[in-house]
Order: sequence, then C-alpha cells, then structure tokens
Amino acid sequence: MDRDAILSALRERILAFATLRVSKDHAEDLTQDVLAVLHDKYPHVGELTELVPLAFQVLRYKMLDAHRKALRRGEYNQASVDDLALAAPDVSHETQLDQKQRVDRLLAAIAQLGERCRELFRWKLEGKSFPEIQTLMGQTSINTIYTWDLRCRKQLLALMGGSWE
Amino acid sequence: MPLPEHELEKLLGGFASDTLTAEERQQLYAAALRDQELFNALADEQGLKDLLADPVVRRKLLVALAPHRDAGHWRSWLDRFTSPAGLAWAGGVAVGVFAVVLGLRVYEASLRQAADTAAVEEQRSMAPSTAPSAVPPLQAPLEEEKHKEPMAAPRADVTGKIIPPSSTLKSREQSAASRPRQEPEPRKKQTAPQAPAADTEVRIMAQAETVATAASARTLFYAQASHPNLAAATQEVESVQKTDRLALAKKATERGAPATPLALRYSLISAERQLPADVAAGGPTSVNFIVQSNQEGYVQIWKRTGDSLPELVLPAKETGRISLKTIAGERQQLAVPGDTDRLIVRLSRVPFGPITRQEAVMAGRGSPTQLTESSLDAEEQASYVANPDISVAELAIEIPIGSAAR
Repeated sequence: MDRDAILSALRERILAFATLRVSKDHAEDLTQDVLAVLHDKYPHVGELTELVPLAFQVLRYKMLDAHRKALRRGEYNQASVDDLALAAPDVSHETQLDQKQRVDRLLAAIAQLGERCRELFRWKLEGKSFPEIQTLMGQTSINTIYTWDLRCRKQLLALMGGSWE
Repeated sequence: MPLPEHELEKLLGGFASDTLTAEERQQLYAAALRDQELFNALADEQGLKDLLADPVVRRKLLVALAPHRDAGHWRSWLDRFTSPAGLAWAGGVAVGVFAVVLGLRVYEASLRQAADTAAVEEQRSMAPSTAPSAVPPLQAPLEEEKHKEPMAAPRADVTGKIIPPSSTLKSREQSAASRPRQEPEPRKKQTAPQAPAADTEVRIMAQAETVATAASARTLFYAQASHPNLAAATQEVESVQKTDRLALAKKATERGAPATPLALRYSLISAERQLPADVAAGGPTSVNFIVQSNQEGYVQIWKRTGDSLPELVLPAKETGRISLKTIAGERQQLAVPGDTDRLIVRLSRVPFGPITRQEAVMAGRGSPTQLTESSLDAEEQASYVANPDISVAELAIEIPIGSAAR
C-alpha cells in the first residue's frame, strides 16, 4: 500500500471518527487540518506502520485544540461573558495541568486493579512485547495474554471514567 | 499465529504502550484502515499512548505498579522456581544436597565401623573370657575360691574359714579330685557386684571382667571353659546375643576366637634326687624340666647360659623342626644342664615361624595380661602360666633355672 492510498484511507476514517465527536462542519475542517499536517510536515513518511500512528497523533492534537477553542468560545456552555477569562491562559500550562490530572486519575485507577493486571501493565511499561509477556507469565497461548490485556484495559478505562482524556 | 480480523482490537493494548511487534503493528494498522470501529478505538487509545510516551509518567506508573513485597514475593518466587532455569537450578541444588547427605552418611558409617572395631578390641582386652568353649575340660574344675588368691597370703573361703597359705599342690589336687563339683553361686555373689539390670551389656562386661580377674593361672589351666563363672557368663552372653545386636562379645565369637585360654604347667625336679650321690656331686646339678599345655598346641623351649644368646633345645636340633606339637596334658620333659641360667618356654596355638636368636630374647617376654601362679613344694616346683585373654595365640615365659639347679 503506497502513501497516497494510505492517506486516502486515512481521510475516510478520520472524517468518520471526527463526525462522531464534533459537528460535521468541524469534522471536515479537522480532517483537512490533519491531512495538511501530514502532507506539509511529514512528506517523507510513507510506511503504513509509521504514517497511521502519526495520523492518530496529529488527529488527537487537532481534536484537543478544537475542544479548547470550543471551550473558549463557549460553545459547550453558554456562560456569561463576565465569567470568561479576559486573557487567554497559557496553553502549555493548561496542557501540563491537564496531563497532571490525567496521570493522577490513571494512578488512582491502576491502584484498584488486580494483581495480574498490574503485573501485565508493568511489563508493558517496561517495554516487554506480548510474546515476552507470554513467556514471563508462563502461558502457552499468546491469545490468553491478548485477552487478559483487553480485559485489564477495559477495566482500567472504566475506572478512569470511560475516557483516557 | 496472526489474529483474525475481528479480534485485532486485542492488540490495542500494545498500541498504547508501543510494545507491538512489527508484524502485529502491520496487522493492526492495515486492519484499522479497513475497519472504522478499530480505527475509532485506536484513535481513542491515542490519548493513553501519548500519556505513556512521557518518561516521567511512565516512571510514576512503574513505581505505582511495583509488586507488593508481601503478596508478590511468593508469586515471584514461584514463577522463578517453575521457569526452566529455576527448575534446572533447583535440580542442581537437590543433586548437590543429595550428594552431601550421601557423603555424610558414608562418612558416619565408616566412623561407626571404626568405632565398633575399636570397641571390640577394647572389649577383648577388658573381658577376654566371655567367649564360650566347646572343648571339654581336662580335669574336673576346681574350686575357684581356693586358688585364685595369692598363695602366700592367708585367705578366707566362702564359709569364712582361714586357709593356710602353705597348702601343697598335691593336697590341692587330691582335694580337687575327691571333692564333688560345687556350684560357685556364693562366690559369684561375692565377686560379681550387681550392675543395673537395665544395662545388660554393662552387666555382662562387668561379670566377665570379674571372671577374668577371679580366675587364677591354675584355674585357667584346669578349668578352661567349664569354669563355672566363665560358663555362666558365656551363657548369658549367648542369650543376650540373640536379642542384642550390639553385643560386642558376639563379634569376638564370630571371628572364631579360640574358646580356651592358653595355659601351661611346668615343674622343675632336681635331678640329684634321681642320681647317685657321687654323680650328683661331680658337677653342676641338672634339673628335669617338665611342661604340659592345657590344649593342643606347639611348644618351643630355649635355654640361655650367661650372656649368650638363647639356644633352641626343644624340639631338638636333630629333628630339624622348630615347633614341637603337643596335645592337652602331654608332658614334655627336658633335662636341663646345670649351667643353664634361664629357659624360655613358648606355647602357641599355631606352629612357630623361624626367628633369630636375638628375637628369641624378646619372645621370652610374656604378655602383661599373663597370669602366673607357683606352688612351692619340697619335691616339685609346679607353676602355672595362663593368659585369660582367649584371643592371645601365644604364651611365653622366661624361667630362671640357676638357683634351682645349683
């Protein structure tokens, strides 16, 4: 699969995804912005295994950016103009605070996991691949590890309130 | 094995932690471009992926996920133990431990065997007369209480009557022949103090020791294994041997140790009584030396004159032999020249081997456990030499002749 085919498929998937999260007009703009970044800033990336995760990363930043802009414009909450901040807050500070809150939530959620899930997450964070984890956990089938990981992730997501953000 | 298309969402966890293999990544991303749901799931997972990509966050999470010391410890041990390397290590340790235990057991067994051997040797030297005898006595056993005390000292019999020390051999033999066999129970009670009943082995050893010390050379010569105390002790040892595996006396018996203590009787009779007076006055007076053993054996007699080396006189040189076989009670008579200072008499259960004359000097020195009893009589000088240690195969004594001959 060449770069153009990958970008074409990505456009279709990104638009469908964004449409579920934001309005259709915004979804169109969002998709266009993502593809523009990929086209302008990463013209040398053509491999499927590099281009797709890159697209996900750009898509997330664009979504967060759109989300913050909507917040600032009061699109979600029609609040009084007096309640709005006069000056735009420092983006990096906001991002840091947001990340800190997410980390705290994640740590709290992880603390509630069972021993097996904690062990599995620990090995993943240590950079172990699934086949390596399979050996470490003494399982004969790797599908067992996939299943355990899926269940643990769902449990963790539920403990975090249904979203990683 | 690649996952089916509908199960590729199982790889999402590896996507967030960026731990997918190249093959898994290729599968997942290709499927995501075809499957909108999978694509959506990956897009949602991107938030976690970005979070985990931060090294600081990753470190915090690892600290939080560190295994609990108490709960994870045993599981970790179990995992390590059940892994192939752990099993190999455990197997090696087990083999090592087994080898060490086996080595220790072999070492202990050898030590125990050595200790047993030493104990048997000690037992032999301490209680040599515990072994039974199958040889019938030469004569009826004499009353032990009459002959086991030194001849020179007055002593009391079982009734407390004082017996004079000057009783002669003849009178003793006569009394022994005319007197019926008596059970030595009263004497036994006097000489064998009762050991604790629980310690049978100790009791037997004490009793055997009592028998050995109680038996005189003369008693041993005549009584042999039919000595009442010896017989009683032997019988008891045998009864204990049936039940007590540690009875050391059994080992001594099983080794085929001789059943009868080696003993001999000798006498010196002045030849001048048998010769005419003119012949007897012509030179140094010779004596007749008579020796007899209490059992079948081999006799050797050497004579010494002055500082010269011993000379074998029995068997005579003409026979070409160095051992004279004798049977129990057989008298071997030898005319000893008047200039002879000493005689060396040797009695052995087995034929003698060749020795030098210098060695004969040493051979004349008897064993320290050897008993000697002499009867001083006007007509006959009879002496008894015996070794109560039944394991002793040879008896030797050096007899001064000079005073008797001259």
